[in-house]
Amino acid sequence: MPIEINWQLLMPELIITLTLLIVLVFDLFDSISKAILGWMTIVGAGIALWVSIQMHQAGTVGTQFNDMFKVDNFSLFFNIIFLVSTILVALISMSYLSRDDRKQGPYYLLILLATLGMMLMAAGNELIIVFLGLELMSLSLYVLAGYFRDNPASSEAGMKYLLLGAFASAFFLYGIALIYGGAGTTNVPAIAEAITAPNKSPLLLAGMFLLIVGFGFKVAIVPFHQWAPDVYEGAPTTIAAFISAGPKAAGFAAFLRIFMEALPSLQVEWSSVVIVLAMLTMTVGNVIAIAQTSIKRMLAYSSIAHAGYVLIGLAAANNDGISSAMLYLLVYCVMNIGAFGAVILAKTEDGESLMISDYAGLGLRKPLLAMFMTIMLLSLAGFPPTAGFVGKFYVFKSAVQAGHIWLVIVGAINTAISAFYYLRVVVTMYMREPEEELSFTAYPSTLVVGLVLAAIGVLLIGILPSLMLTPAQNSVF
Amino acid sequence: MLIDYLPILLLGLFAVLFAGINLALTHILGPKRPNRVKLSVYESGVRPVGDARQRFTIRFDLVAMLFIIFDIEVVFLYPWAVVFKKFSETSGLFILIEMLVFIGILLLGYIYAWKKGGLTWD
Amino acid sequence: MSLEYYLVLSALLFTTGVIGVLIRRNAIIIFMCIELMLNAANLAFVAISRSLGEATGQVFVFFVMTVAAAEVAIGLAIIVSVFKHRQTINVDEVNSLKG
Repeated sequence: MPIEINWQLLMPELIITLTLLIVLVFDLFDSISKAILGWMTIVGAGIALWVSIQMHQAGTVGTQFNDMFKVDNFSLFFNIIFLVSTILVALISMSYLSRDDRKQGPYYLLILLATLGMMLMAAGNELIIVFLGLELMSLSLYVLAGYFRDNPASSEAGMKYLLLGAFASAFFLYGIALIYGGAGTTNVPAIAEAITAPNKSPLLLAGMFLLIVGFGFKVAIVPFHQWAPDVYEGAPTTIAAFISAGPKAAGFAAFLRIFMEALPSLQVEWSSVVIVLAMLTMTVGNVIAIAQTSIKRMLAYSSIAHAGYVLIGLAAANNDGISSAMLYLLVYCVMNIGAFGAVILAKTEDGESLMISDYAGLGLRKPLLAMFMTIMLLSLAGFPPTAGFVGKFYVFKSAVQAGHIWLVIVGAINTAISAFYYLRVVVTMYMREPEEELSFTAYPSTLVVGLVLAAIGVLLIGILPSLMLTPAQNSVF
Repeated sequence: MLIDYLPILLLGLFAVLFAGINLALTHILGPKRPNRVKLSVYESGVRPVGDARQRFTIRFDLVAMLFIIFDIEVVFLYPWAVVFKKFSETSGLFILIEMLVFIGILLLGYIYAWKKGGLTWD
Repeated sequence: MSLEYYLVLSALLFTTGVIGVLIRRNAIIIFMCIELMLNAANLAFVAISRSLGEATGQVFVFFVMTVAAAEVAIGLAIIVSVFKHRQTINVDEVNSLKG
């Protein structure tokens, strides 16, 4: 029985694996400057991104390893989301980390490992692969959240993320076990074949709900969201940006793949749950965000609310719903990393400006910073001509097509609520005088490059939505 | 059926009762003449020093964790070894190299932990 | 013996784990309860795999075991670093982050 492996299909994953091995080896030698590791990460992820885009344009489809690993436009589109997030996070991290030069190696190593985990999640055609990818990603993120070991807040964030993340993984795993019991297989297409309409065993239903709980924790859906604000606040800001972007997209990738492809015959059961969760998530996230005084916590609650908007696309459960959810995730990753990047840019001599009141008067004193922040916040709020508007528009449109008018009304009300707290920061920056004069440090060039890229992306997708919408529409499995 | 397990239950019950009753009997009937040497902790004849419940260095924890990680990876060798024969006719070399790559990556991780001071003891 | 017994046992173990996570306050014990949940899933996998007469579930268990080991290693390291700062691992006392 000869074994055939089509290496070309695995190219993006292989490139990331190779990059992380190279980073690991280079980190062994103390004589080499650690700053180069960040650039290696960016170059490796850049090549993988380029390969993924090429494969996406060529419409590559195929499975590997006994049908366990599926490369299609869906997984490739998500690869693009993950790799863009990784590159942006690496760019904003370089200046953030330069203070303690020696520990950079593990940082980039773990980011690459988490990226590899996400790619496995999106490409998993077998629940084992999805679980392994999920754990590879989560374990790396637990360490990254507690990366500043000398900082009590960072350690605490790491512990909270670890305990709740592992708890969620256990739910996810038990859900898989029950689905395996109900369907007799863990292969995604085979599960769909095994579940015929009259045969809805209680095992399958229980497994499905456990999966929703597991995913709900991982992507921070209300009522499983409590960890997110604490972790985002305590973790290094760059890692908060990373956790809020790629892993959330990866969670949704596996969510979409498993629920749309393996459990379509249970759609009646799960779509009503998803609708309720979407409404809850948007409303709770946005309402609590209003009360926040710390910008990191505000962004944490806003990212919870954004998961709710993505759920609208999932609730629509049609092709437009999937493609709009994917487009939304891409847009969300770019603008959210951009917003966190702007927070890092607003660094004073005594550390980061984490209170919203610290941003008073920045509009005139720091025009570049204020401009980045404004673009990202307007996009998060969903104002045209930014990418956030495009993302929301298509998500809402797909839900209308699916007949979920109420969901869209709740979504629209929430957009209005969210505009309030996003604009409050903008107003604080431009209209209010600072209470005390803060002395800001100089802008690091890599951080500015990252922010410029994010801003260009946000505006470009906002003005020319078809640029990313068409690829997203071609990516529905 | 469950009723088939009744003898095992009875056996277990009997074992517990036998041990329990004997211990209780010696406790009640046996003469007790305690002295200081008799009451001291038995430590293979050596005079006991300090409390057993003291903290030990965190280094143990690190080494133990590294051991667990590398030790558990061996579990993947078993299924590989079981199916090796089935594939050895056609692509034996390939799956041998595959396993070597796996072990090579593990080795790289081990060297990394070593170089980063995970195994130094001070 | 039928599959139900194993599934009921594994469900009981899983529930014990969940309740443990929810009511215990010591981070290490919470962590042990999570391991119990993972092993409940392992039991279900092995039992189902046995009753189906195929090996997927057993292979799954191998992977879960290694993942659990990695999780323990990372988890203990993080809990130790929290203990160094706080001298406690009671999750109710480790709560400087809230809004």
